[in-house]
Order: sequence, then C-alpha cells, then structure tokens
Amino acid sequence: MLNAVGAIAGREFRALFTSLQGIGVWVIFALTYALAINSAANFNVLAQFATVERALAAMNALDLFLIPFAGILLGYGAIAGELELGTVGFLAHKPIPRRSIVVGKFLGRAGYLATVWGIVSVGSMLWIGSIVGGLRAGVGEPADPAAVLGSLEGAVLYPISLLALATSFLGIGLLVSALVRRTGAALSLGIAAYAGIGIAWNALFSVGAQPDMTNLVLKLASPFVAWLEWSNQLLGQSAPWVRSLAESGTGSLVGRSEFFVVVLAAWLVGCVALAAWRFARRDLA
Amino acid sequence: MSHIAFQGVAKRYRRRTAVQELNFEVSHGECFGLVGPNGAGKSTTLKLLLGLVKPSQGRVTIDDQDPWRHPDARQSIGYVPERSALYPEMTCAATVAYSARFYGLEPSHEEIRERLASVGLRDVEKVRVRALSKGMGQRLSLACALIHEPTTLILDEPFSGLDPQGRRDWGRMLRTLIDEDRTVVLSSHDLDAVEALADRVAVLREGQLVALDSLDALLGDHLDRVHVELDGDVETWMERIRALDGVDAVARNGSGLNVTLHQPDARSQLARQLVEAGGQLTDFHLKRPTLDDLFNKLTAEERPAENPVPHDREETRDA
Repeated sequence: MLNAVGAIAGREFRALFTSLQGIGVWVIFALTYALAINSAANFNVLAQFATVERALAAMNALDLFLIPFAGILLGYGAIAGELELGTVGFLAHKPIPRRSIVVGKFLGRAGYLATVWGIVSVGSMLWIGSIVGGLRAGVGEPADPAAVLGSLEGAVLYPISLLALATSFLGIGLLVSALVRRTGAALSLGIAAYAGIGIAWNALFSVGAQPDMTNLVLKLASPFVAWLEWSNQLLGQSAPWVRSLAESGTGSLVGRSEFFVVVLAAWLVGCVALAAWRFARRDLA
Repeated sequence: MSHIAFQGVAKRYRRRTAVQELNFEVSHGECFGLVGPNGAGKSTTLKLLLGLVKPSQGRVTIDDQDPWRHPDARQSIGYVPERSALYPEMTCAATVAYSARFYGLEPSHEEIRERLASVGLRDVEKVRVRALSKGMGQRLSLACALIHEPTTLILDEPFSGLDPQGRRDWGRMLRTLIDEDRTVVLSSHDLDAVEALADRVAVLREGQLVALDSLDALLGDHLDRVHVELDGDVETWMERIRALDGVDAVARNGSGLNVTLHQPDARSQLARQLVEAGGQLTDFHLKRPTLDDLFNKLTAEERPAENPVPHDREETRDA
C-alpha cells in the first residue's frame, strides 16, 4: 500500500506544476508575500523598528482570506476531476485499497503546497530581509540576522502557520471533491464551506464580554479563528480574552498555541479520513 | 472451480435498475463475450467484476474473492476500459511504468519499450498521451493492462472508434492473448469480433441475461437461416417472404435471399409456403446463422416494428 501511495503522490505532485490550480497556488502565496515586501519597503521612516516579523504582520489580514482558498483550490479537483475526466478507473481497478488513492492524492498535493510555500517564503524572506537590513544599516541600527528577523516566533513560526492553515483547507477541499462528481460542483461546495466556516461559524458562536466556555471552544474550533488567534499569538497581537485564557493557569489548553495546532490538525485528519471513507464506498460508474 | 462467478447479482442506481438476476460463471482460459444493445448493462457487469461498483444484491467473485471488498482479487486482472482512462499529461513510457508500480513492478526502459512494441506502439515512449489517436490510446491501455502479465483480461468495447485496419489488428492481438490461455471477458458491439473470439456468449437486454451458451449451441437453439434463390423479381419475393409465417428476417445476398427463421424446424414449412406461393426454387440450402442474427432476434423487441432487421449488415457480410 505504501508503494501505491508513494506512486500516486509522486504523480499528483508532478502534475500540479503544469495545472491551473497549481499555478493559482503560486499566485496566492506570491500575492500575500507581496504585501509584506511592500510593507518592508515602506519602513524607511521607522527604520529603527523595521524587522521581518513586522513586515510579515502586514500580511495577517489578507492571509486569513487568501491562504485557505489556496487549500480549497488545490483540493477540489483531486477526486471530482478524475471522475469528470474518466481517469479514476486507471487507479480504481488496481489491486490497492481506495483509501490509498485518497491518501496518495492528499500527500502529493500537500507536498506541492509545501514546496510552493517553501520556495515563495524563503525567496520573500530573503528579499524582505535585504530591504530591512539595508534600512537598519542606513540609520545605524544593528543589521545582524537576529535583529533583522525580530522575534523568532513571528518570523519563522508565522510562515509555518500559513502552511498549516492552507493544508487544513486542502483537507476540506479534498472532502468536497470526494462528495460530488463534477469539479464545478466541488468548487462551489468548497467556496460554500469556506464562506460557511469563515462567516457563519463566527457569527454562530459569537463571544461576548463574559464568554461561555462551550461557545468559546466551539468558536476557536473553526480553522479560521484557530489560525487567526494562533498567528496573533505568534505576532504578539492576541485578543485580550484569548491572552487571558492562555495565561489563566487553569490547565486548560484553550487559548494556547498547542490548542490551535490541534484544531488545524483535527480539521485536516478528519476531512481526509472522511474523504477516504466516502470514496471507498462510492460507485465509480 | 469457476474463475469468475456472478451469483444472483443486481445493481440498482436510485430508481434505475442497471442489471438484475445475473447468474453465470467463467472458467480459466475461457473467452467470454458480452453483447447487448446500448444500456443493456454490459459496462455495469464489467464494473461489478472489477469492484468499481458495489452489487445491490448477490455476489461477484474472482477466484472466490469479492473484488469490491478485497482489492487483492484484482491482482491477476488487466482492464481496458471503453473510454480512455489515461492521464493526458503523461508520456507513454511513464504511463506504463506508473501502471506497473501498482503491481510492485519497476520495469526497465527496455521492458517498457518491448511492452509497447508488443501492442504495436513503436517509438512513442516520449510521446504524451494527449497526442495519441483513439486507436493508439487503446493500444496504450492494453500495454498497461498487460504489464503485469495478468491471467485475466477484461475488455470494454475494445473495437469502438477503430478503423477497419485497427479492428483487424486488435482481433489478431486478442487472438494471440486468448491462445496464451488467458481468461478474457470481452464486451463489444462488434458482433463479428465476438463471434470470432468468444467461446461462450452472454446476451444482455435491459439488464437481464437473455441468452448464455457456447456459440454453436446458441445459434443452433435459437435460429435457422437458409439461402433461397427463386425465379422472378428478387425484390418482390423479398416482400412476399417477409410476410410468411415463421420468418424473422430477409436480406438480399447476390442473386438470392438469406432468410432467417424463428425455429430450426421451420425450414420445411418455408419451402412448402414458397412452392404454394408459386415460386420456382433454383436453390434452397442451409446457412449457418451468425451471432448478428441471434442478437437481432433477441433484441428485436426494442426496435420499431417497421424496421425489424438491419439488412445492409448481412449484405455486406455475404457479398
């Protein structure tokens, strides 16, 4: 089964480099980092405070909307696309469990996502770093790597959180792809899920001044909210109520980074497992 | 023990029944033909066999294993689908190598080249699938299906969309594969090819098995065909014979007529009726019926009454 998963993942990974969806992911990552590069270029009057971390913080609001879409974009055609093209039979009649097809597809796409993210992130960080370093040196501020980066959490873990967010939405995209037969329907359902989780969920579990713990946990269980609060913590911008939760010392995980990582991982594993379950039981007529 | 078995199998999709009450077995080394009009359930039957769809009722087994539940049951199977199921962006060599990996194989470049050549594809290793013609795509599907030397081949309409030369080439390739003692399950509209290749034939109509036997038995049981030559205008006799009792179809053949009868014992009745109608018989001999005749008879209920048999097909065959 591992051999099959590896073969499927490898083909998926290679095929994405020439697909529209694959190119779309490059565009989305490049677009978000362009904002950080632009932000770094505007540090000239405040060069003494310029860091990579502060430049990345400018991406935060845009990332919340764009990065999940990269995951949906990469996932929605994974299974529905093969059903539509009729290529699903190539794999489905082989002596391999159907779940290995879904897992292989997920791993290939996640690998592609990580590769694009890695290339764009490293390239952008070097670019931002060179801008920030030059500005800092110009006003006599320390320009060593540690000073240029700012906080390690913000400069290194924040980009990793982006990948985690995109990967959890890749799981959602894969799930909607396994539920329907047409890519058009899968994309519509994916966008509906994106909007539903992003807007309806937030409205449904609103948090007042004295939040009810059940409501709070459910609100934070949204991948959007979980990532936003995680990224805010990484960038030192947590909402007061989340910060107080993290510092409450009650022993609860809620409000801490680990909780948000678990939420994103649960969305990912849950969606991939559901997609595999659904695909294994459907007729490929 | 049978190699492939369908036991009381039915498949329903919501309100539509695709196949029902399928009961048949296929032995090792047998070439088994599936024929029937569009929508008769041929492709569904093959998909049930491949474990691509789950039976609503009954049991499908390959060597006593259910291919829906146990993917290993498909280890010894090669499948050529009706529509290309190949990835358009891959090269021919990469496609064959990719297919091989699911059987734990890593064929060398030379082995891939030989496999492609064995199905008539030469110097196409680096050609992308999207650049292949329909016929070449079919051959590549066959190369993928054969890469692990399967003992059983399942072919869904392998002749569709091929030109006459392509059909002849495929017929030869399949004959070679059958002679290598492989089990072949062949679904096709090309009745001539099925007749030439299959040991037994199953006729499906509206999802039901309406006939299943060896060709000789089927043709002997179901039909009789005679060649008749009479003095006088052939067209006039054609119309008159068509109106006689026991006549299933009439087709022109050279200077005479081929008459297909409902029952084998209707020959003497036909001769008597012709004489009574004033015909001067110059020739009256038995002709072996074809699978085409059988198919026409078994599926006749679905065609409009005013055009019961496509005569041009018979004329082409016997000309």
